[in-house]
Amino acid sequence: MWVSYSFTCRSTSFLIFLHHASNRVARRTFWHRNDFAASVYRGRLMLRRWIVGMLLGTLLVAATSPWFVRSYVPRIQDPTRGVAVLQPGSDYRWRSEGYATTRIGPMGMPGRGTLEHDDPGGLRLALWGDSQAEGVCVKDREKIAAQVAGLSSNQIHVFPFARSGDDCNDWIAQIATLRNHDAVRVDAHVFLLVEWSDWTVEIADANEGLDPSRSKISATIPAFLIQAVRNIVTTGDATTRRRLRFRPGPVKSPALSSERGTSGGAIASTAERLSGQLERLRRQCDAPCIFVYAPLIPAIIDGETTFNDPDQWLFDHFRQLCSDHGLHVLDARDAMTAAARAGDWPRGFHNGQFGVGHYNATGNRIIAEQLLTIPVWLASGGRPVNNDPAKD
Amino acid sequence: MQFTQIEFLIFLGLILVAVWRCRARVTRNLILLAASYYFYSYWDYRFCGLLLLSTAVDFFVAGRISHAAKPRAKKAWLCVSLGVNLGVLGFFKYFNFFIESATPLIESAGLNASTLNIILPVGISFYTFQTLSYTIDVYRGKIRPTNSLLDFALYVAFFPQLVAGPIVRASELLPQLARRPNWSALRFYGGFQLALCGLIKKVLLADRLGEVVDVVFAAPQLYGGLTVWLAVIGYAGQIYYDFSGYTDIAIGVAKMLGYRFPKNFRHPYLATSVADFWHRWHMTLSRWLRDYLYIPLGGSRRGAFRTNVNLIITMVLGGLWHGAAWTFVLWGFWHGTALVCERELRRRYELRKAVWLGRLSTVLVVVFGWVLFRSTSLDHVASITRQLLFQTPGIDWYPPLAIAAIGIMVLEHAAWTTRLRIAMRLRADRWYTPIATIVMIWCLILYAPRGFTPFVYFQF
Repeated sequence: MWVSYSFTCRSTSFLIFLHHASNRVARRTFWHRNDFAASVYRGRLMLRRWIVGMLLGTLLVAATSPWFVRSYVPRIQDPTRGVAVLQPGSDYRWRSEGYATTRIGPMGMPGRGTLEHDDPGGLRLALWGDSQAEGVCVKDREKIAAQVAGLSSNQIHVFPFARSGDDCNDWIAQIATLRNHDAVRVDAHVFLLVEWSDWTVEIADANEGLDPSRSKISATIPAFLIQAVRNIVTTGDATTRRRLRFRPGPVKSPALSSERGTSGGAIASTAERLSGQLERLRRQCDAPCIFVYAPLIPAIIDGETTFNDPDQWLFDHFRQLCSDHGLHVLDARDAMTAAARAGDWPRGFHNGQFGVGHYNATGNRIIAEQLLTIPVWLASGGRPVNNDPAKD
Repeated sequence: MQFTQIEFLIFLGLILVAVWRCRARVTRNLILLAASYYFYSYWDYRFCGLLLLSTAVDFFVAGRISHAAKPRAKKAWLCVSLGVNLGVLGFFKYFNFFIESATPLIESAGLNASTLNIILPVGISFYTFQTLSYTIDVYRGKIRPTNSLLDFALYVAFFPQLVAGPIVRASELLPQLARRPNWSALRFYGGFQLALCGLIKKVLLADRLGEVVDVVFAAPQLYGGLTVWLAVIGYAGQIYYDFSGYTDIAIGVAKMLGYRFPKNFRHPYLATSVADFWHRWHMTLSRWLRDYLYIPLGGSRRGAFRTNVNLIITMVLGGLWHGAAWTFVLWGFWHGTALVCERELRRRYELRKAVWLGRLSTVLVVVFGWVLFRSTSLDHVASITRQLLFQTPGIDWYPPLAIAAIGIMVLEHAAWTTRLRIAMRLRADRWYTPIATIVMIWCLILYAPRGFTPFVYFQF
């Protein structure tokens, strides 16, 4: 009966629905001891109270969620870079590791507001990397670009083109696209090398796909609702879809991954892929290229502090390759280690864990300090120079 | 299966529907028994055999004790039950511990001491104590043995309390299983609310604290003294919220099904003495130890010295019940010694009632006890104690969420001593209850740590 009312007048029908529903609830469940009229009244009152309370509770969570929940920013296709980037002009909140809000600049640059700069004669560097270089965990003034500008008295300008999840296939493709568009003048390209896997991937097309439905969701649905759905349907690192298990145990542990690929074949193929990517970079890129090597050490893993780089062999090979291709390598490991030994760990946050995770303000400063040596190298003609003679 | 898994919520939903729709008591108990065995086999189906063994032995033995005419025969049957239950527990839980501890002795005798690769069955300490209490109570004539194997099997395996308590006695649960449960919507609501609060305690407070505690306890020497203090206090909060959260969920789920479990926690950090602490912490274990260990040892009936010895023995064995390691023995000894000191002080001096001083000293004793409890070795204890006392420099790490969780613990305990505790019960007819409930549900979905953390007491 009330269904037909709902078509004529929604608010009236909702009240009628409430009336019938609360009567039913009262009749079936609550307060058998009391007389029926009282129980109907109480049931109705309680049902209303719960509906209103749930709405208010949800509003309360929605209002306070920006303090605790990250934001979801829509992506747009940037024609100059040829990839999907975070929407310029938006604010990107990060809450789980570090506590910062990043202003997204033109061309999706995190933390950099404009393409122009005060001193047209300054050195202009394009910074490429993954989430470590993107730096959404730290405030804009603590990001690599801002720290370089501050330390160099605005003589060096960094354009942060790093995106979370990118690897060298993405960077090399974007460099080519940028050059074709001639939208921004770049004097040199800087690559923050944190994980070797970013440079030892097979040569492939860049991941340029923009998912319009995702962007639409990010633009229209409140972040706390998106986060809630993600928490329910994914697990672990939020990229793995949650799989429910109802089968009795025991559960066989997944086969442990084999030892790090240091066997002869693995070394050869890794070195071969690395060489192929560097050669491709050299072909695609006219401007000088500089690598800042800042691997995930020092680290605290299972209560053990690690200062030694397990990939030293690969770094030695890499440096040789770079030397052959005329690429410059800066090694940030010693500075990172010195900071950690002094108690100022370059990675980790109070709301995360020190010794693991992303670079914090200290880590970004150390990387920024490495970038300050680039003008010297460029002034010397862009030839490979060694910033750490003891290691040769 | 753990209470914090989505699988458990689905499982519980199905069980609730099945149990509500079923009017026949036997069918209902059969459904619950099957569900309980499924719940246990979710971890490892092979250990259901142990549960069956324990059930069968104690059901049979209790019947024989009841029918035996001579006291000696009764005692012999009791010894069979004790032998089987403690034998199984001893083998699975303590075999390697005793072998490792006795290795120097064995090797000095020219023998080879080797340990076995034994998996500790989940919940074995809990259901062993539960079945033991049944046969002992039957032996003492406190209860009559049940004639229904179904009811008894369900009593042993009832899933809300199977793996980590509370340790429910036969006299409390068997009569409930023998009749139709007293179910009502308000009772269901009460159970739901309790289970929800338990989830909040476990997921939002204990697990958040655990993130810090695990890291700092793994390498205390790396961290500054204040951070180590934070981790130690954090562990006091973690273990309380973890275990009391589990218990709240267990009691709440049982209540939703129409059964009543005894309370297991009563704001233990409000205790004014160590003895009071044990009347508030893991209350069902405390009374088990009192009734089946301390009193049979002689309790306080044989003079002051013997009472003190009994206290220490009880607490050391209580410590050993928690885990097969010397740190647990030491933890039990620490509490036993504290109880003895407290008893002697009270006996000799007329102590004034200084509630807050009592609370503070008790918390200090208990918190240091947790250092022993959480440490993996005596060297580890020394390392943490050094950091606590001498404040050597290291990484200063002050995680805001852990500090907030400790703050909530302090506020929650403080509020419990005021009239606010009435509001904290979240009665269904209060205006703020729907708001608080939905906020709690949202917080669980939004702010739970992403990793899956098992309950601390599962290892016991």
